[in-house]
Amino acid sequence: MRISETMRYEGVLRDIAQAQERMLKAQQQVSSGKRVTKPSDDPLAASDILRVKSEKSEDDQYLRNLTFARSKLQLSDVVLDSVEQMVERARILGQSSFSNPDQAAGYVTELEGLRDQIISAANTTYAGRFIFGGTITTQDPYVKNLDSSVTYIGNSAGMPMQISRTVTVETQVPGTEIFSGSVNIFDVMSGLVTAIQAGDQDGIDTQVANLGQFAEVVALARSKVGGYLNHTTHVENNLAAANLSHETELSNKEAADLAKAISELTMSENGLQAALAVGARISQLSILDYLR
Amino acid sequence: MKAVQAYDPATELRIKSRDAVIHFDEGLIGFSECKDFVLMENENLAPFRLLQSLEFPEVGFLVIEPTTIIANYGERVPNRDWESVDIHDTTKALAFVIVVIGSTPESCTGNFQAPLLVNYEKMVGKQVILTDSGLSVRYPLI
Repeated sequence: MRISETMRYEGVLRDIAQAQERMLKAQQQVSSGKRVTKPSDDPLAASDILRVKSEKSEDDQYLRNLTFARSKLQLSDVVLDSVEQMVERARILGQSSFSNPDQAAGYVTELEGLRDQIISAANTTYAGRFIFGGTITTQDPYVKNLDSSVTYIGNSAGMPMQISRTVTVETQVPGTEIFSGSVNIFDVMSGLVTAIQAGDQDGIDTQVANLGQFAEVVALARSKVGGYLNHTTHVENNLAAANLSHETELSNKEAADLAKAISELTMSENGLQAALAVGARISQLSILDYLR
Repeated sequence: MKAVQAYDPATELRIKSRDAVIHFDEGLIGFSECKDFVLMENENLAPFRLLQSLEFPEVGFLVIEPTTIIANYGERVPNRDWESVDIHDTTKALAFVIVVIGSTPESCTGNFQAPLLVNYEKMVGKQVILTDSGLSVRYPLI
């Protein structure tokens, strides 16, 4: 009878299966027999493996937190970037209104539009939550009243998030440090519109200067956001390194346990190592071996 | 410390040479207490070898030279990792990966992401983690 490669392989698999069974018994004997009392004395302790596994799953959670924090911060940065551009446009409009009084009406319309855009920027949501309202995240933090004034209904609290066992990172900057902080952008924009409509050059000067100050406030907020983002990147690198290390630690533990059992089994005549060696030899055969 | 014989009649495993103790200053990952190992081999075990801890007789690892599976494996290890075991000429480099035996030959894997680099002139070794290799902790041997 011709013995095919498949049949030989099946024989090897059977050998390995039998060896595994004996190995399991050997392992059970070993583990029920001599166990060291102090955990640190026992490099193979199951508790150690459980610890690594739980640290690993904790880290996975931290990584999810971190990804969330980063996306939210990146959105803040994008929004603040567009606010900077809108404010710069408003400043240019304010300055040119001196020399082009006949275009005042058009400037006013554009400035009112910009003000509305800044309100909606301030009411940006991430994952359905408002990001500039402090801890008030379920309703628009900036409400435009009937008289077109704007009221802040958020608070000035941060929203820190734990992104590693020891590190928490701030995930947002409250509106009180941006839109309604040392300079209230909505009041400034209204003031600029009023001054242009009244042809009040001093008033225009004042509000243009205020826009410049507000731009600095936004730049400061962006640098905070940038700092938080750097923090997440740093922690992410650490988490990734810890994860690789945990994977190898678990893999080492697994391998060490098995090798122990194998060294017990090398005593037996039909040991695992023989099956493995044959398996390895067969697996090294390739189609090229048949083409010789 | 249990004395390891150069030849263990019970397991038919023998140590390749005298002075064969490889010192891992940091231990292996997760086994920081295990610093001194010997490599043991016999014909039946080939191409695997047993890396046996001297401090803890119950700790031993089946290892394989990764180049038997991935010919240019040495090149995948960055120079700075080789230099961590004081190897500056990679033609003299020796690496092992730790093998996990599965229930079928196909499920036997090696941790190709975290090789043991050995400087066999100084008999020192280190387990390093290759962060950018794209190689798995469970890379199939077959």
